[in-house]
This record gives sequence, C-alpha cells and structure tokens, in this order.
Amino acid sequence: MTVRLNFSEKLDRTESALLAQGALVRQQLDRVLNALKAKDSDSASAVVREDDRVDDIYLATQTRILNLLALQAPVAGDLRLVSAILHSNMHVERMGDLTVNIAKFVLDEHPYPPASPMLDRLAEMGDRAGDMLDSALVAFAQRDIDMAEELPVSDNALDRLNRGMLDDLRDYAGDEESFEWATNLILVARYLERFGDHAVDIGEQTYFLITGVFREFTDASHPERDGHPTG
Amino acid sequence: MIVETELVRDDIPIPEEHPAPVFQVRDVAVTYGGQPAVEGITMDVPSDRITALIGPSGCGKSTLIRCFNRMNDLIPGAAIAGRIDYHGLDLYGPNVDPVEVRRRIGMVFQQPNPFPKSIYENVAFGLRVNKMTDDLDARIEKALRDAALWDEVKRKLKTPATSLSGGQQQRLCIARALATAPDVLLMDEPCSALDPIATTKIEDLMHQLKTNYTILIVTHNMQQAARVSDRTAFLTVQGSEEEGIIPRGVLVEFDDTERIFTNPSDSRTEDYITGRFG
Repeated sequence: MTVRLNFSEKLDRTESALLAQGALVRQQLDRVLNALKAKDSDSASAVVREDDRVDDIYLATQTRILNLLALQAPVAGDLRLVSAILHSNMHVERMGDLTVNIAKFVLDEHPYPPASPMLDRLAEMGDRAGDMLDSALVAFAQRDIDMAEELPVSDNALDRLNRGMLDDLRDYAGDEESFEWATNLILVARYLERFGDHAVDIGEQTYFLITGVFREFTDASHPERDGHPTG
Repeated sequence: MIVETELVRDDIPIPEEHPAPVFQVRDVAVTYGGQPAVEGITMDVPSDRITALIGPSGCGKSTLIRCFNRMNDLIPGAAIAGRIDYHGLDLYGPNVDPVEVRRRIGMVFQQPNPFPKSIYENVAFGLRVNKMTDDLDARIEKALRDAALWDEVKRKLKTPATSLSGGQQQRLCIARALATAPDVLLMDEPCSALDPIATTKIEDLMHQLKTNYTILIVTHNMQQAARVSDRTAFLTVQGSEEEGIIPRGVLVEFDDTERIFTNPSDSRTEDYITGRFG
C-alpha cells in the first residue's frame, strides 16, 4: 500500500501537537478560573509562566507547517488539514493569551469581593468556554461536523452571559469603589467571550477540513448571512 | 478533560544534532581526461540520514556520488584529487580494496538492472562474490524483507528477475545491494524510470532504511529531495565556453533540507529551487 510514511508521520505529529496545545490551554483556563475565584496569586503566576510552553508549541507547529508546505507539497485533504492546523494553532495560542490576561487581572489584586453575582456569572462563562474548547478539539480530532456546528449555539449562550454582565454592572453604578472593580470584571468577561469566539473559529476550520468549504458560522457584519457557505 | 492527548516530548521538536559523519569530503575534484568535472567539494555526510545531491544537468552530482564507492575508478581517464575519509579512513588510500569498498557502500542506479537470473540468484550474487554464503537463504530473505519485496516474491524466488515490474526490479536491486550488509547506500536517480506509485514505495523504503543505513541520493526531482532527505547539497555549473572557462560542478550550499527549501543562504540555490534558473 502506498502511504508516504515520512509525510504521514510528520502530519500526524503536527496534529497531535495542536491537540496537546489545546489540552494545555484547557488546563490553563481551569487554573485561572480557580485563581480568579480564590484570588490566588500563585496560581495566576503559574498560568503566566506556563504560557511560555503554549507559545513554544505554537512556534514549533508554525515551523512544522512551513516545512510540510515547503517539503511535502500537500494536496486535497492533506492540504486542508495543514491549512486547518495552521489557523487553529493561531486560535489556540490566542486562547492561551486570554487566560494570561485573566491571570494578570488576578495579579493586579482588584478589591472585588469573594462572592458576587458577577463572579457567579464569570464562573458559568468559564465553564461554558472550557466546554467549547473541549468540543472544538474533539470535533477537530474526530472530524465531527455536527459537534463543530454546535459551537455557535454554545457561543450564543456565552454571549448572552457576557451581555448579562452589563446588567450586573448597573447594580454598582452608585458605588464608586465597587463600580471600579465591577468594570474590570467586565474585561474578564470579555476575555472569556473572546475565548469562545476562538473555539467557534476552530469549529469553522474543522468544517473546512471535512467539507472543503469555508463557512463562517457567525458573521458580525452580516448577521442575516449567518451559517451560509462563503467558498 | 475530554481530549486525552498528552503532551509528549515530541510536541516541541528538539533541534537535531548532526551525527558523526560517515564521509568527510575535503576539497575533492574529479577530472575526465584532464577536463574538470567537479572541483572544490567539501562536505560531511552524516550517518543514518538521507543526503540528497541536487542541481542542474552537468553539475557533477552523479560524478560526485560515484566517488563515494570508487566507481569512477572504472572510468578510463577519470582522476580524483582531494580526500574522502570513510569512517576516518582515506577511501583512496593505497591499501584500500575497491571491492571491499563496494561491499560496504552499495549502489543503486537509474535503470533497474537485475541480472538475467532468478530473483534468488540476483540477491545471492554479491554474497557469493564476497564469500558470504553461510545461511544464504536467511541472508537473502533478510535482504528482500529490508527492501520491502519479500511478501511479493517469496513464492517465486526461482522465477526470472526480469519478470518483475520496474518498481519491483528496482527494489530487487536495492535488496541485492543490501545483501552484503553495507552501511551506506548510494542511489543515483533511483526513481527516474519508475511511475509515481513505484516511486512512493521506494521513497517509503528509503525512510525505513535510514534507521540502519546512510543514504546518498542523486535526484533531478527537487520535490523528491524535499520529501525524503534530511540534508541537501546543491551543486551548480560554474564557467562556460563563452567565458573561456571550462564548465565544472561546484558545491553551492549544503544544509538541512528544511533550511534549503525554506530559507536557503545562497541566491543561486533560491533561484534553482524556485525554478528561476536551471
């Protein structure tokens, strides 16, 4: 059987590295959410440190993809996989950066109380964002188009929670001190909302990988076109 | 955690250190009847890796590869200057037996060239010449297995080798070269007469063989060099009759294949691999 052993091994290894990077970012998210809840500076510092490892895998994957393109001239399904890994690698790295942003928020020691409706909402957003990353990675690894297409639905829920943070903020409008930390918590929500967007983007790459059609699941500038193939 | 992928050491590639060289080539020049063919070749060929020689026609890559097992000795008027060390020993030293050199450094050519004998006798030939006839059947089976041909021929070892397809004949020639337990395999355009599927089989075979053998390959097919090799040497032709300089091959660049094909150091290499020259 003709298999192109050298190429197949390198392509498998590159995909494995992407999935491992995703699993690492998932751990980073769990750790930073716990740090946020417990106001744990040590855990937050560990998240910042561990991001170097995420970046190392990102750079290694970029190099591997460049070499696969230059040396192996992939076509058809192999080319789609190489392209999908290249784009998803960037999204996973950005998700790692978002966990670092949250870690830095924890390290800034904002005087937010240990319990509040906003923290509860952030915890729920964090859980949903983590579930979305899990789904994005599994959909990619298992070439599961249905799971990929579910991601925008999960993202809508995440967006609703994010908008709810603004309602929570109004409760602190008359209290200048609380209003400051509450405003900063809005930023954390924004990071988690962006985290979910990147998971959807990975889902779009999975859709492209399986079908060869690039389809934006959501289009902010043309919401009436949501879900329509673009190529 | 839903995704069970674990981080393993290989997720972040560790830059490879080049293993000890099998060949150390120092300022080698070859002339035919006093006319220069290649000159100024200096390079280290690493063990257990695939090294590709690429370059335009006439750049001397076939001349150079034939230096590594003294095949140029057989060409009247050929002369070599400079030095090639094989595992630290001067390959052209006065006490070196060229037959022993060719046992340790096997060669496969452009056209599959099986002898007009049975499959079995083709592989046995080198073993008989080198008096390696103990466990002959086992040695032949091992060579055919190493060449990824055993399963296809094990029930017809006594049939003529010429009855095999072109790709099978080439793998038989590889088995013949491997039978005498060399540690280096020289391949001069081994796939240029083969179809794409047979070519892929040879390339997969090379990938498997490099665990135990050092391989040098001459190829006109740049993509083949990119696909299979770890190190690539780019040679080109220097001089022309218009310039009043006899054309001869020179080594332009020798580096990791990934670097040659993504960020070569010399603009002549870039021009050649991007198709702007050659």
